[in-house]
Amino acid sequence: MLMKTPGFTLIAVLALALGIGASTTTFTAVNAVLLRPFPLMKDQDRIVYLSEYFLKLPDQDAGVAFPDYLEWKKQLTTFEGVGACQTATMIVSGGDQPDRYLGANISADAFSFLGVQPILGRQFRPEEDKLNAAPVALIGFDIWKTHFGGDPSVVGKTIPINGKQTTIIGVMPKGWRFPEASDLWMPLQMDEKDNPRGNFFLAAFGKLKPGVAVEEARAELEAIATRIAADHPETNAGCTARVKLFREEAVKESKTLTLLLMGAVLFVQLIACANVANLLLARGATRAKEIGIRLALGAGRADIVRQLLLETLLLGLFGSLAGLLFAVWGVDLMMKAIPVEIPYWIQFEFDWRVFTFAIGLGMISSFLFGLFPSLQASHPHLVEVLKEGGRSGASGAKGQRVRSGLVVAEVALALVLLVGAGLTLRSFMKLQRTDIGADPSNTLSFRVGLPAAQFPDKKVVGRFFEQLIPKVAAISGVESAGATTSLPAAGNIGLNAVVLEGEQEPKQLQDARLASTLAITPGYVTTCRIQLLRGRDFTTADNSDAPRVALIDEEAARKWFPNIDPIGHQMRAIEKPGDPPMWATIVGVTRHVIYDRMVSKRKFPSVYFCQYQNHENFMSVVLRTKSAPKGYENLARGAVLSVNKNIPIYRVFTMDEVVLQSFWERRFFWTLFTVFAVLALFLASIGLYGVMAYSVRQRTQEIGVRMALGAQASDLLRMVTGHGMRLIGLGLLIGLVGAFFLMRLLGGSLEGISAHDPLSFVLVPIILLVVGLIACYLPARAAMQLNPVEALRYE
Amino acid sequence: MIKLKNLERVYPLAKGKFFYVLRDISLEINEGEFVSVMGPSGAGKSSLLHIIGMHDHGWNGEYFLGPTAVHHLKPKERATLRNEQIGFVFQSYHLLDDLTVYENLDIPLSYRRFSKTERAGIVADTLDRFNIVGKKDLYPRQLSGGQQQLVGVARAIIANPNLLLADEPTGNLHSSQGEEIMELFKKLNDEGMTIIQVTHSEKNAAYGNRIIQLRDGWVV
Repeated sequence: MLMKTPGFTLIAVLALALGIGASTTTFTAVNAVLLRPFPLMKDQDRIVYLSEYFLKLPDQDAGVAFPDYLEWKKQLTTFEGVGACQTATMIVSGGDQPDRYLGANISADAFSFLGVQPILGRQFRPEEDKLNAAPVALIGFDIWKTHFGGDPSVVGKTIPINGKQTTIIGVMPKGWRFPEASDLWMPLQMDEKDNPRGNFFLAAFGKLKPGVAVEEARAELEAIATRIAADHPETNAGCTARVKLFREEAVKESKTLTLLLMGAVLFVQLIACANVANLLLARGATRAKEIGIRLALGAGRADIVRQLLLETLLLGLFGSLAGLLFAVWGVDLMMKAIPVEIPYWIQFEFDWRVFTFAIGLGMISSFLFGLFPSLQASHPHLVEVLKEGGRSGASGAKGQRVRSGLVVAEVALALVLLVGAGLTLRSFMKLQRTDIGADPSNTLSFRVGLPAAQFPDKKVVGRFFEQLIPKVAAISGVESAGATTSLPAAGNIGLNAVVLEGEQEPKQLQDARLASTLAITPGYVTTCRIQLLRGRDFTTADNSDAPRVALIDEEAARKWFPNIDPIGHQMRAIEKPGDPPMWATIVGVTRHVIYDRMVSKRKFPSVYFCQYQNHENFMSVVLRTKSAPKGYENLARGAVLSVNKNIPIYRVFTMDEVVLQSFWERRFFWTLFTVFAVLALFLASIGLYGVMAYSVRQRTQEIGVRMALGAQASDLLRMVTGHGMRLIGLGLLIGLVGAFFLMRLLGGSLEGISAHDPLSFVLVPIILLVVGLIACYLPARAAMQLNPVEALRYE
Repeated sequence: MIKLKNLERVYPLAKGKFFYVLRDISLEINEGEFVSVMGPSGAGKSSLLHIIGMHDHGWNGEYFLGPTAVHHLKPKERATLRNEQIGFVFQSYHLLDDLTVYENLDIPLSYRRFSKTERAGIVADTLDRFNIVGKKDLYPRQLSGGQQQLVGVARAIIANPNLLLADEPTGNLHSSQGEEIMELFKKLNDEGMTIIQVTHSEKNAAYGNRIIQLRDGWVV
């Protein structure tokens, strides 16, 4: 029967495919983030994440200090293994050009207890963790293939990594890029002297012993953290530690948004299903005579229901298959919408879960939404439908009520999604319009640095940047250039404790003044167009021979120097114990610049030290250009290579891109939400159109009578659109109530607007009303154009 | 009252051919006449009635309703004229199923922009005049065929037209019901209303004062 009505079949399959395609696309993300096991990792339900945090800032993990990690490793009895790592830039030189990779310094036993073995060579040995042990590295599968051509004899070879001859001891399996996107691993060779307590910079993880609950491990870890805090109050007072399942930590930022998206897309699926149910009801009415004849010939009602349900299940199957095709396209688009490198374990693959979901959704949807129309169609009024010209079909009035009800539901669901899209759009626009305190337009940025292992002499580092910045600034078409340890809105800013002149150094770290501290070169403030409110900017004269200077932002001035001029006052960052205090004189006050990611809620004062007096190894260079900044990448690379031919540049982005990346998840979420909302609007308007068109067709004779009785075009227009508008109005009312309650779920994802933003709640229904009016107008126009004579004869 | 000159109704067929439903119709009907249009099936009787009733606009020739040259009017002007002058009775009643008798009678008035109060008064008078006050809240399916057609006639004349067109008004009724309707028509005609009916029944045609015979689209 489906083949005999190809138009119906095509439209029903298409509606289902759109819903299932969108749902499957989103489910692929849910699967990748929340369901798929981490590749290659064994006993994943026992792998946990560990972190220290201060009770004063309970929502922010501080990281783990190296000495604390060593104590944990020694004392924890509920763990099979405890490891730590620090991601690091690793420059592999020796070829034509240096290659920069993201690598990780990691505990030597980590891969063993994580259960992953090299495909070539061996694991790290315990003694390779020791400081000054011979440098060794494990390489990732991808660089084994790309950098070493898949050469199996690579094990045992030595290559310069960060300037040090390093022996490759093994190749890790394909797909292993632990912890997030690393391609190279070296043992965590550290000592407590260089990495004292109070520097929380490591990421720690562990594996619980079999049968140990997370709560048990948490209790043990907290007890150890309390002991450490008691023994070392100056750094660890108020500091404790927590244990979470590794997946819980890994998905903490994406879980809510992913589930919200899944909820949103299921609304789309419901609308698609309502459309199909509408089609089935209309088709049931047109098949009333056929069904009547079957019943008259002896078919039971169950036979009819079975036949009709089988047809709808087939529709569901075709919808699922077509939906999977849409999903392939959707996932491709979704991945293109992600502007940053995502963790290796997030793999948008069509595995058995995705296939089961798509087919299952099609089957369940078609069963649920096919059941009522099948039951409805299976008991027509036999006498009516079998008599000559009979056309009343299966309970026309009841069917019409159900169809109208479905349209009301579609409008309500679409409204909820559209209000959600409106809110996320407004939130996105607010974020985009946020004044970050710097001007990101027409600027190119790139990361460059001299690895500390290769360049232990800080003066060499200082000289490198002193030479590089004027060279970059001298590129034709570059207005100015400067460098900073952290770019505005990039989110990789660290917090430091600072002390003002005349103050005692706090006895405990938790009592210290906290600030975002950056090293910048002269030219950075000008290049980023950061407004200087008082005093002066750094100059090239502020070098290592000159008195140390600092800039603070207005936030620091307001908090630390209320009612006095901060210029001329001294301050310093708290360095490692034993280091001499490095006082710097405040020479200027700038506007506050957002260095955290734009979605971050925290706001700390900023302190700028001069790079030429405070040599940092890795910096982001920023250049303001007279023309499109993207065109300056090669010139900038040339400038760097002319200073040191072994130093690569990486993370080359315009500052506009950096700002966008700082809220890309929101943008991604907003884009998908909007796509779903538009899809919902489209499906709901098609549904409304379908019901109105069907209604006009059913009422053709009535319309003819009304015309014969004097109805004019405007009367018919009012009659048809009035009917549609009543359905829309009811749908909007229900949708608004639903949206009012459901939008609270979005609250945490919105920036600068309330979940009940009046503009979204007013504009969206108007949009829906206009679209609905168009959907009603088309059938109304058809009614107005009916020939009354033909309409009167319509059977 | 009605003057038709060389009126034709043609439907195009495939391959450039045409099918003539009405050919060169010229006739006059005076005010107060009760005319019956007769002829075999397919002769063009109903087509002629729908043209006179201005439901059909696809004809050629001249049509005067009183002093008005209908052939020169735009569709909207024709609709206005029709609403002012013509009432229509259908063979299969065409009462609206979802509306009560009262609401069915109210429809033509609502399309003629009468106020709500005026409409209520006119509908009440008509219910009274046709002796169907007790049926005002019933739905068409709750009425017999004769009662439905009675409501159909009441609905056709409720806006006080000069001309009543009836397309086989007794075609779906048994003889006694048919007689009641024809008596009603006779009464309306006696009160001055011009009536044109299409009928196959000689007996019904006898209620009128003139018969127009159509065959294959020609007046014979």
